[in-house]
Amino acid sequence: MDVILLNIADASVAVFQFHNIALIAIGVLCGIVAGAIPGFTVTMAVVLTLPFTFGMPPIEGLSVMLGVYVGGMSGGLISAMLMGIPGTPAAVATTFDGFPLVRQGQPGRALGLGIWSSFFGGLIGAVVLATLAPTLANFGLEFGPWAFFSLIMFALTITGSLAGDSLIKGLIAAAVGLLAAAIGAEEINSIDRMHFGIDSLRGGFAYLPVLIGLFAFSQLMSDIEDRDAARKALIEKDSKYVKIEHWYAIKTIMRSWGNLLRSSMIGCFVGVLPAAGASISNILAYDQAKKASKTPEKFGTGHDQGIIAPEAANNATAGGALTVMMALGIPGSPLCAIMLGALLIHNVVPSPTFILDQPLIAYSIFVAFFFAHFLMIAMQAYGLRLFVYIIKLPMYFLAGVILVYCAIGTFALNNIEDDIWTLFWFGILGYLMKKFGFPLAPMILGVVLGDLAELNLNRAVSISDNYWLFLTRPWSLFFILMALFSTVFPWYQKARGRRIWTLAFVPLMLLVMAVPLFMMDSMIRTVVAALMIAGGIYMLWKRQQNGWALDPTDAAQPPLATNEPA
Amino acid sequence: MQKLNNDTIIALILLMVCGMFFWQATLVPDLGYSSMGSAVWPYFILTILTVVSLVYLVQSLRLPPPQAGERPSPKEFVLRYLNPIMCFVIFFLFLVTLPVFGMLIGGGLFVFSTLTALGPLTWRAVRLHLIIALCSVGLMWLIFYYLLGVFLPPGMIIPYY
Repeated sequence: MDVILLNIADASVAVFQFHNIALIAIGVLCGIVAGAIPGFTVTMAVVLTLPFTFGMPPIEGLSVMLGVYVGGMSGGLISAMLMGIPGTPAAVATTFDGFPLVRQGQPGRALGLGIWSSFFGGLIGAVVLATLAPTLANFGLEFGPWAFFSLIMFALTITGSLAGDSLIKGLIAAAVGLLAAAIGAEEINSIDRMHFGIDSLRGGFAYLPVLIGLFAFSQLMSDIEDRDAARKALIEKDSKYVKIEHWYAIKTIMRSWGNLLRSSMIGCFVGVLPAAGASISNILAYDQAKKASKTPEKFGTGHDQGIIAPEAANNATAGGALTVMMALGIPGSPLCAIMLGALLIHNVVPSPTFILDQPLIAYSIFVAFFFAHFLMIAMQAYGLRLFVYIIKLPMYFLAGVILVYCAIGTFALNNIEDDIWTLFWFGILGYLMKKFGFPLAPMILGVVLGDLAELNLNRAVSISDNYWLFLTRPWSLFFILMALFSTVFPWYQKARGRRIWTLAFVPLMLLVMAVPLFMMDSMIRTVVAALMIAGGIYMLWKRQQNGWALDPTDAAQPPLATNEPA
Repeated sequence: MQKLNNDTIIALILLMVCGMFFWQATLVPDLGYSSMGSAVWPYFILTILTVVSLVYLVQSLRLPPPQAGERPSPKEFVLRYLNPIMCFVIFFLFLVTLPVFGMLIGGGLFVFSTLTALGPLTWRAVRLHLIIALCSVGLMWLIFYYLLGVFLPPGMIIPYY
């Protein structure tokens, strides 16, 4: 504990430099603006900020990006409440009660609740990040190259299966991402491969132009597709000055601490899961808040609790997502993949030893993430008029300017014009993929994780040519089984409540997943495995008692899938 | 071709791409001393991609072929996607002419052309597009050149550094 406090103190000295605070403030400002613009996502805002951070020292560069991340997560509530259009998918559930409350003539109250819920949710996420990441990193130290390779495969399969409507399209996208990363210079043996004799392909694709092309370029093209909509202002109503009711919001949230805590923990948990993100957590938290409420009928009519839940959850998700990325070096979402890219640019390689080896940078991330929430509150409180003014601009203004900015930013990465061509080709590919229903998230993860997967496969093969080690190493087996279940999950989701085999899915998963836990040399994990087996057998017994009768209400559950990352 | 649905066409393209990359993977030299050759990873990915593309093809063949009028004509297609097509074309021209115009002039021309192509064609709007193009690219050029120390492509017309 003393070491953690000492590290936090050192990191605070590094973060609380005047110029660094100014940079975080700029990041938060940009994030809120981007989050407020419907059609933009937080991921896109972070992508666009990246080129500015190339020349900065790691702590400054990461502070800016964390500012954008935090600002973007809360910026979505402005358009969600004032226009009824969520600025980002992470603010979808905010519209359910935020917009009705604004229409009742209470915009100050609605915005106050949203902003302060984001703040408190984010702080809880930051605490989880600072406390859980070192613990999770200790687990990561047990992984060998076999487990790391299997973990990457798991991250790709679960993203492929959850990121879109079709599992096959998700898997194809992931494989195409891996293939794109495999083109050009190979690191281990220094051999150029699959370049078709084209010189510019010999070095491979720098993955940031690929990410900017896939994400930002293709998103902009989708945003301006409708000729008339692109010319219209994003918000056409005249905005009056809104006085945010801070005290009312703080008092209400403090009285609703149960809802705040539950929603924040849902956000953190969803953030930890690969492929899930704020676009899922905000809806899940809203749903749980409604179920737990004594007055569920008030939800959807401008109820305070309906604003607190999604806004606390979406900001807390960031803490959970960063936890996994920092502890294991595996990004669970495109947003974290880009954050990982930012770390790699500054020669910081997240891995289980990252927090131990580079405590100053690791704890600076915790502190900057925590502090960014305070700046977010200040910006939201005093900059609301500016944000509303910006979302009055027509979309085509933004598209034209941002496209050229993408080109400049991409060039700035390595000072190579070929990178802008990469941006262009992957922009076309990303747009076509979106048009034909292929999710981009698995491809982005494939591009980012491709080299890491190959490196770990190579290490595993170099240590021993016994491929069975992938199945006999407990953590590796654990992730392979998780990958298999995540592949079947979309079918389970569709067939739930309609097919008898779905009744055996969860108990079977518990029984099978207990096997690798038993193989681990730890008393606690053995107890957990025994509990999982007991739970699995109990569920099977209960279903046997019910005569394997299907529950039709299960079929009504919405699928846990998202087409767009937050 | 008209009887094939989009998914079938995409699956066939994917399989062709897999074939091309398999051929390229065979050209990767094996150094002999490494425990895992440089072609192993590409083969691993391509095998997975080929298998999932085949499954995708089989799935797509089960779907009904497109009905008459369901697939847009080339003219309808261009009209529907006019904005993205124009943007891609202008961006392509911007890249082709970048060595000549450089980022400052080329970027400004790109923003102006894109805004004018996407926005309304009135004198007022065109003037506004010109101002936005000059200000946005000029500002970004200044930030990158002076604050971040990034030398953007100069072009042949104005050798500005």
